[in-house]
Amino acid sequence: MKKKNTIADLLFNNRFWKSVFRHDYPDNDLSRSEAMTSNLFLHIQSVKVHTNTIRPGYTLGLGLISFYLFIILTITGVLLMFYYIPSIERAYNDMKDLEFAVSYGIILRNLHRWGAHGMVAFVFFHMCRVFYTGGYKQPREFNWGIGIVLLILTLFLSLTGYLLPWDQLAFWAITIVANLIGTSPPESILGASLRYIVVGGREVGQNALIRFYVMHVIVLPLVAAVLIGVHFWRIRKDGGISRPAEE
Amino acid sequence: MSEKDVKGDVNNITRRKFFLFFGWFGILSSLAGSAFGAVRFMFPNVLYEPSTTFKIGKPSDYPPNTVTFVQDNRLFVVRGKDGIEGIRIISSICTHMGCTPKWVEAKNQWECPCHGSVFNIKGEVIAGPAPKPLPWYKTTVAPDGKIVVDSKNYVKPDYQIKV
Repeated sequence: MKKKNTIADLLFNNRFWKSVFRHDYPDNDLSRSEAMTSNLFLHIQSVKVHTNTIRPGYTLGLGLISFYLFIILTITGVLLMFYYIPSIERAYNDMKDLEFAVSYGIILRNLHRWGAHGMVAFVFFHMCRVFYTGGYKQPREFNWGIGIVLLILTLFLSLTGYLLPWDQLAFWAITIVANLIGTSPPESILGASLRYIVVGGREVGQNALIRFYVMHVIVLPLVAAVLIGVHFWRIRKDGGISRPAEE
Repeated sequence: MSEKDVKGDVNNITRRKFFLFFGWFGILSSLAGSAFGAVRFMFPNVLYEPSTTFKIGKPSDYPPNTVTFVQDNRLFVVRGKDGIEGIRIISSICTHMGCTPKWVEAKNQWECPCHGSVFNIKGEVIAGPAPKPLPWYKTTVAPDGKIVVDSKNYVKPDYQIKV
């Protein structure tokens, strides 16, 4: 064994590091492929991809940007949950405390807010890119469908999060949405029942707030995370990112 | 790395090394900054807890030669015990694990129900696992005649307000 004399040697040339990363330094084809296949996160990407896949101008990284925004929203959202209490007496004041009294509260709240707006935009742009490059065609129809569900989930996450500050904007937005749901035909049966379970009563109040909160912080993110996993996996199974026919 | 690559020689800094260094510097410093912010975020700056300085009624509310438990503020008002005539305030938070010891008049001592610590009338530990005596709180009388307790300010057992 070589003498340990550089920082890299001290960091990587020891038993602990080698128990985590069981392959050699990825400087040849074999260890490069091992680096991918032996890593839970990296093995989502196949070892070898078509040049087209890594051409930035083709995908513009829109799907990955959407995914990164989802990660940012998860991290900032969990942190915000430490201060935010979903009660109609406290929600608005907790939001104001995050802005004015909690250290780094305003940057986390704004990251969450702008990240959410960004995610809606980038998921939509991603959908446009897939459409314009014909990525929805066979054999990728199912993944396109999952993508549509993910777009709807993104919009629902955006909507449920919109209620949580419990200010005038939030209150009236939810009032409108609840009444919109109430018009689902046939109104007297389906619409009325849907409105009743979404609001948790007849008036928008504490029940509505906790329902939207639970949907926002656990139900929708969990479903979205699972579907994101399937979405990524299907890209590989469907033969990688769409590309023009071989010349 | 080749053998010619001598450490510390400025001329050996290649473009690749330069960008590698600044790439890692950028990633690690932004991670460190985010981690610091997240940890600092967890320390609240504003608390919605009762003040540690509060009023507990007038001296005349507490008869001579008694020990009175004030549940809301977790303390005992001691008046005319242990040869000291005035009013003294002692914590009712056991110094072991924070339970509430009970005043036992017959034995002239506090007994904690959780782990059996016993404190005498001076607040000293005479039995059980408690590591420290019960603290006596600094006490004053406000202009309106009410007793003001400062539960962050400890005093000696003979500190009293004369009645």
